[in-house]
Amino acid sequence: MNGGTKRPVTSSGEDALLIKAFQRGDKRAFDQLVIRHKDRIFNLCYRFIGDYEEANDSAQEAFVKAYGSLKTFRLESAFSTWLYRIAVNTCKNKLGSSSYRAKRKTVSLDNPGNNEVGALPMEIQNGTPSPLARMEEKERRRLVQTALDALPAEFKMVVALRDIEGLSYEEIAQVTGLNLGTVKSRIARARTDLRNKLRGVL
Amino acid sequence: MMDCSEIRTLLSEYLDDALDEKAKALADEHLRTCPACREELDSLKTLVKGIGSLESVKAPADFLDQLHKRMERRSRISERWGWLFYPLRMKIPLQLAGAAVMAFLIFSILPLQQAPLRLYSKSEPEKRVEEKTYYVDESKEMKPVGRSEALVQKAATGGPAKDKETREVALNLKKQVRAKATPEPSAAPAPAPPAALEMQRQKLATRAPLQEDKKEDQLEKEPESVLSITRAIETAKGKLLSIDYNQQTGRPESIHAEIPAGEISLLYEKLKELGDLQVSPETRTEKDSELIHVRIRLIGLP
Repeated sequence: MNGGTKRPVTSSGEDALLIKAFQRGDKRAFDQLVIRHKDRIFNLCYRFIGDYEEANDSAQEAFVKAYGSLKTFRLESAFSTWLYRIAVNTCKNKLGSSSYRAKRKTVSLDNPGNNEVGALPMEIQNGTPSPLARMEEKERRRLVQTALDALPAEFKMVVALRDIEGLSYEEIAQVTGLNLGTVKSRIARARTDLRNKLRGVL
Repeated sequence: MMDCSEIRTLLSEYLDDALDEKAKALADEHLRTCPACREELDSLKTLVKGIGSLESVKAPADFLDQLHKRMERRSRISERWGWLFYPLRMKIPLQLAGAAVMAFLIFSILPLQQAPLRLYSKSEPEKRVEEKTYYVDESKEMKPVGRSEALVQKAATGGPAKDKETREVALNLKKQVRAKATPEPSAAPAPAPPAALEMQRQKLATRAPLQEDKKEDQLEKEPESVLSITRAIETAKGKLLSIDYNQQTGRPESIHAEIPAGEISLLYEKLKELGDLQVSPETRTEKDSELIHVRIRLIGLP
């Protein structure tokens, strides 16, 4: 139904086998699940929170919670959807926590800008050929990311799930616990808002 | 036919191919004839592509190691504090078991401490029979009697048929009486005690028939204080019924007697000579001929 941008690369069949192994007592199966999903979960957290360290903390926390609940996980729903849901809730809690909001108000003197030249190394998946084109592309992405960051959290989340993670509307509804109509209208509003901000850039 | 503003609210879903047949047909028809809305759709497509082209940020290389450390730290904490977070279905039975153990301990310790008091809490009818089980008769001998005989005996002595309360008085003996309470080993055999006393020296609790060979020993060990009280009871024309001894210390704790109601004040007077007497106010008035049960509790004995 969706001409989704990206589909989950992990096959749910393999997840199911690993989950069953974990539930039989093989704790190492969980490590395999982490390796298979860590980047997607991390990326989602990063898009949602916009801070590398905080995203890392949330992603780790999401996996800790998943570990605690995986024993009772029934394979009725996809593991990736379930994991997304945990990650989304973890990120929401972080964004809502007073300590995080206090932190956001202060600006680091080491890294006063809004871009992500943090202390932690960031690995970029692919690059573009020419240096000039790469610079332009980099600048364009920065502006898109800045516009995305400026969205209210509830809009940012649905857009990230749809246009970055490539989830269907139904999956987004499952992950966020919102009803389908709300998911559709929020995505539409968020896109309109971004398009207005990024006119002339894209 | 839809206008542009209506169509634009549908473009996001149109882009994702999420519109139903009817809405999609309407949008298609409008877009064919409206270049402005077509342009709007194109710019949305570009935006979505732009968002999708944002590089995926990878998790740190040591993500799994960090996770292991975090979980290890967490499990150490939960080992220490985890019981706080046990589900209630586990916690409640544990707490109930704890409460049961506590209750068992409390109820197994309390009776030990209150053993001497247990006598007072017995129901009245039970007490009556108990009091009569060893009675003192004119021939100064004691006979164990059964329950029915006790009741006959009671009727024969003109005891009241109705329930009678036992009056509790507490006697704090004076020092000089107390001093005599512990007889010296070298002391000469005590003067022959009143006959009634002889019968009652045995602890009530033991219930063993009196043995003749133990009489002399018991006699010598009878504290002076008990003798003085016994004399007071005799003066008041009363009858000594029993002497209760503390099971642990072997010291006399209380003396139980039957006194004619008319003589009760005389008994109190005599007891006041021996020490501080605490009498709880009595509301009931008995006829002079009636027999009153008095329990004299001895306090302040060494």
